[in-house]
Amino acid sequence: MTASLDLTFTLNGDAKTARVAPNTLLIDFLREACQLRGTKRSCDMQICGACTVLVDDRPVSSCTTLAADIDGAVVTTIEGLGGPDGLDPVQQAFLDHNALQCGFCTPGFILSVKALLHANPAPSHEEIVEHLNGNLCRCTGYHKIIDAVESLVRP
Amino acid sequence: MYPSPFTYHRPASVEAAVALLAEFGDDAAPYAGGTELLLAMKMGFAQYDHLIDLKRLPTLRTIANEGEFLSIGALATHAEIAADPTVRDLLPPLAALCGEVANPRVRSSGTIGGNLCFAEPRADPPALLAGLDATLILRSTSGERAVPAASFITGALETVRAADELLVRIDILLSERRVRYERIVFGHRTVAGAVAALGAPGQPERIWVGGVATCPAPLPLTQSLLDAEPGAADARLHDAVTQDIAALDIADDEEASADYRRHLAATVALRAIAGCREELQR
Repeated sequence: MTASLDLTFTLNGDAKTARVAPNTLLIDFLREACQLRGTKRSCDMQICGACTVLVDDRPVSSCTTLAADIDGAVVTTIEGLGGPDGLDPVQQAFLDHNALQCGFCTPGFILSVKALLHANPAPSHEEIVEHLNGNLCRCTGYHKIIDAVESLVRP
Repeated sequence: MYPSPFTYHRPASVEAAVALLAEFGDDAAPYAGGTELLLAMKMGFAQYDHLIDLKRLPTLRTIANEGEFLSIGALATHAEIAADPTVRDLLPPLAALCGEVANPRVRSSGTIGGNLCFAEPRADPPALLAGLDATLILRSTSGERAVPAASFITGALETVRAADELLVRIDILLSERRVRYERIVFGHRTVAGAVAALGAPGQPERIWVGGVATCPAPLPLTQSLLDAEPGAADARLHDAVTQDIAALDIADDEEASADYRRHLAATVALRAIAGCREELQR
C-alpha cells in the first residue's frame, strides 16, 4: 500500500527514477515532470491516438494509463526517435511523403507505426489501414500517411 | 482530467489481491487494463479510495487448452488473445473479435476480464462468451464459484460479481459447434452484434445478441426452432428472430432509434446463422 510511488524505468534509452502520486497519468508525467511535450493530449479518451507512446514496444494511450504502469518498463516517446545522425526511418518516410501538415497528430502516428512494424515487419496494405484507424488526422486525409508506411514495407 | 486520488496497492499474488478486496470491498476497484476504469474515473463517473493493480500477476493471464475447455486468464489482453495460437486454432471467432476491439492501444492494455466486469452495453465479447456457454470463475477469500457467462451481466454496467470477488478466468467449452459472430459498427462502437453457435449433435443451439439491449440477450424462439428443425426455412427463421428481438427492451439512443437497432440486430443474427449453416454444409 502506498500514497506515493517510486518508479524505476527506462525513458528514451536513459535509466530514470521518479516519485509520483498514484493517480498521476502517464501523459502528465511525461509532459510535466519529464518536460517532454511531443506527446499530445487531445480527445483524452483513447480514440484520437495523439498521446500514443510505447511501453515495452506496445502502443498505449498515455492519457488513460497510470504512470505507475511504467515501473520496470522501457518507455519510448517521440523525443526518443532519431538523433544527431538523422531521423528515424519512420520520421524520414513521413517527411519524404509529406505525411504531415500541422503536425499535431504526427508523434502519435509515428509511434503507432513503430509499434506496428515491431509486431509485424511486413504488414499488408489492409493491416496498415486497420492499424492506423486508431489515429486521427484532421489535415492530410490519411493517404500520404499510408503511402509513407507503404514505402517502408514495400520500397 | 485526473482520476481522483486513491491509494495504490500492488499485491504479489492472487491471494493477496483477493484479501485486499475482502478488506476494502466497495471502496476498492481491481485495476486490470484500465481502459474503461480510468476513463470512468477521469470523467468523475467512478471514484475509489483504493486501486488494486493486477497487471503484475502473470498467473492471471495464462491461456491454456484444458482438453474439454479453453481456459483464458481474466487479465489476458485483447491483443494477447487475438495473437494466441491456441485461441486462433480452437476458437478463431474469439481471436478475430478480440483483434477488432476498438484500436491497437486499447487492445494492448484492455483485458477480457475487465471487458466482462465493466459490462459496457456496447461490448461484443460478453455476447460471444454467453453464446459459447463460457463459465466465469470468481474468487474470493472464501473460495471460488463458477457463474455462466449467460447470467453474469444483469444490466448496463451491472454484474453478479460481489465487491469482494475477483474474476480470475474464463473457461470456454470446446465443441464441434460452428461459431459466427457478426456485428455492425458505427465509428468505433458496435450498434448490433450477434453470435450463432450451431450444429453439434446433442448440444443446444445458441443465438445471442450483444450491443443491442442493456446486456447480452438470447433469442429463445430462434434457438428452439433450430433445436427442433436445424434446417428451418429462411422465412420461419426470419419470423422467429424478429419476434425474439421485438421482445427485447431496446431504447432509442444517440446512435440509433430502437426500431432501427431492432432491424440491425435481426440482420446480424440472421447473418450469423447463415454463416454457421454455410460452414456446416462444407
